[in-house]
Amino acid sequence: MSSDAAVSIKNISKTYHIYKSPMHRLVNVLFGVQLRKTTDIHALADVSLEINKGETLAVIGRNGSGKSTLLQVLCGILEPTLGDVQVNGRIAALLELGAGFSMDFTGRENIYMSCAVYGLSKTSIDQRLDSILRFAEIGDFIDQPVKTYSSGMFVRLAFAVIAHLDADILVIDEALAVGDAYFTQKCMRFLRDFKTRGTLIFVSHDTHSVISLCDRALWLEKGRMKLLGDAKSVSEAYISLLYQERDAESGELIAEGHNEHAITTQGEFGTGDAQVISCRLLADSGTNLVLLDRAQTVTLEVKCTAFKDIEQPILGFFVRDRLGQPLFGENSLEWAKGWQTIKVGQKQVLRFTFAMPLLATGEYTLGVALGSGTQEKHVQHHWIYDACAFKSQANPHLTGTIVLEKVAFTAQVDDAKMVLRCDSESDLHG
Amino acid sequence: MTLKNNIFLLKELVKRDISSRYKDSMMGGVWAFVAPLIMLAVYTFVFSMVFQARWGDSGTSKTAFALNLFIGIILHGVLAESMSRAPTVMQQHASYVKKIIFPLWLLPMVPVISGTFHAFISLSVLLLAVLFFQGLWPWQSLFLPFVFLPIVFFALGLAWLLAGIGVYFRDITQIMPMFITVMMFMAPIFYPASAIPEEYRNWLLLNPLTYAVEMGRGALFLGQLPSIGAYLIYLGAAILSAVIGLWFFSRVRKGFADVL
Repeated sequence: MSSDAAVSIKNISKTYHIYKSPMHRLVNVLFGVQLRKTTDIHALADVSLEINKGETLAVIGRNGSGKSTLLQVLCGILEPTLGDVQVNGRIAALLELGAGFSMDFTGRENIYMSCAVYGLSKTSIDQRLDSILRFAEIGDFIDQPVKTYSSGMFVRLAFAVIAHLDADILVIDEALAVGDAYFTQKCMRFLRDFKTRGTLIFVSHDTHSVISLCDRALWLEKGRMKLLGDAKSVSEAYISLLYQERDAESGELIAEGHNEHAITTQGEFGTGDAQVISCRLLADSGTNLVLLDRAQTVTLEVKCTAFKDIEQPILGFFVRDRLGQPLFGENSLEWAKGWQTIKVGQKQVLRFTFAMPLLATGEYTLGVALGSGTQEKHVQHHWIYDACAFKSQANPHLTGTIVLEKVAFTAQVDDAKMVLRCDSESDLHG
Repeated sequence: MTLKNNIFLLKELVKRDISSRYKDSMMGGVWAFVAPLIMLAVYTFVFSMVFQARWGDSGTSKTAFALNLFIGIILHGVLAESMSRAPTVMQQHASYVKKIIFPLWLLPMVPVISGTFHAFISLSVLLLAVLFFQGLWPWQSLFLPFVFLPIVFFALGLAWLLAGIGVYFRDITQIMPMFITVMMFMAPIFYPASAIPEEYRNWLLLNPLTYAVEMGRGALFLGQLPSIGAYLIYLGAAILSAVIGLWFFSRVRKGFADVL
């Protein structure tokens, strides 16, 4: 282990043995021998990792991929079956909401207890108490038993405590998800500040906070290391795999679902006379658009086929936000005068190319509709609500939905001849 | 794992343990005094009035039996509380085991310390009773805390051992009440050590209570102190059992989170 490493783990595996009798387990723990054959569950397999002091590492992966197990092993709560963990510094963990709180005791009493668990003395807790209370912002509830708290108050209290422990290494598991936006921002500010003096290990499903907070990311898949690298590329790879699988599933759905009648798959409808086979959104680099982090020209590529001759076909799309609110959309009527028919059995590849603005951070879906007729009178052959999905990542200070481009600003004082001109930096060269 | 860093935590844990026992009761902490007082009154009535029992052969006073019995019961109480509560202490704090970084070895200490706390309250009730029935205590009574010291170490050793076993082997909870009763009768609590037939006396010395109870009676009633050598050997054995208990605990601790 190099002297810079805060945490160093070598080839650790965690296997849960299912024993027939608890005595066998006791014998195993005490003497390290296995009396009978056991049924094994592998939660972690051969994970090696070195986290340097001051580094921020995210652990991502699906549910059950071993993320929490890894954190528990790091914290010394679980003993790895094989391998070696070395921790260099004082470690504080927030693994589960409200864990370690005694429900019948007040928030204040629990602050003392939680700090004491970490090894702080009464006087040093007294000194921190005001600051903890200010951070938690629980108000008079602090003297109520914590069983009366909302989950938001729980996480505020827990986070406030952990922020005041002067730990060298912080381990945080998804705890921020329940806080309101205001508190989440506050935690983020704290974590950003903490990064300058400590090591942070962070499990999150929120790839945005992973990218904005972490230097590196580890992607676990079925207890194994799938990818370890810089946070952005690992997160992108992870998201794109998730979407690929989802697309693959919905692709099968369409293939199986076809018949002469209307398409009835959930989230889709239409006569079924023509069908969208696949649909993808391409970034200006030509690869699938997974993460939108700047405005760019994108291409929507739709493959379709027809089971009857379709005259005057129309292709439309629309982009919706997480709440289903439509943001914008377009159809081919205006742009594809020459597109007259889709013959029966024919396969066609249709492409829309347009300037995609940068959108507020979040998840978006793109729906497509294949119909025929005119703007006033048409039938829908195949309408898919969520044909593709992508994430957008913008400056968190953005107000509104769409990031403006080509912004210029001038300030002119009435009598002066001088004109101030300030250009916004990032959006002008688009 | 250093006690120095965790002394405040241990204090808090014990405070909670003791206060939770009297929480929501109207008389609160008064019960800690009332309970031993009532027990002593009952012993006095039954053994002195009903049985008219005499302690040993010599013509001791009527109340001597109850008082001699009570010091034995107090010492037994320290072990009994530790042994009955230690096997479940980890289960009761499963979230400390699985969800947070916690110095788990402190947990079995809690019943031992709160048991000792209650023993000292009972002891003060006993001292008052002795003052009332027999007059001023001999100066050797100052030795009484040192009678408790080895018992506390034995209790710690047992608590760590039983807490560790209890996680893996729940049946221990069922075995304990029986074991506690055996310990009570297999020590000179209801009878003076001199009443034990010669050939069995050494066997009873295997019970850590035997020596402590005899020392306590010597100090409080007879004005006798044990020989330093014998006491140190006894204390050494007690400390050794605590060390073994802690070693066992820290060894099996690694598997706790997998089981609970």
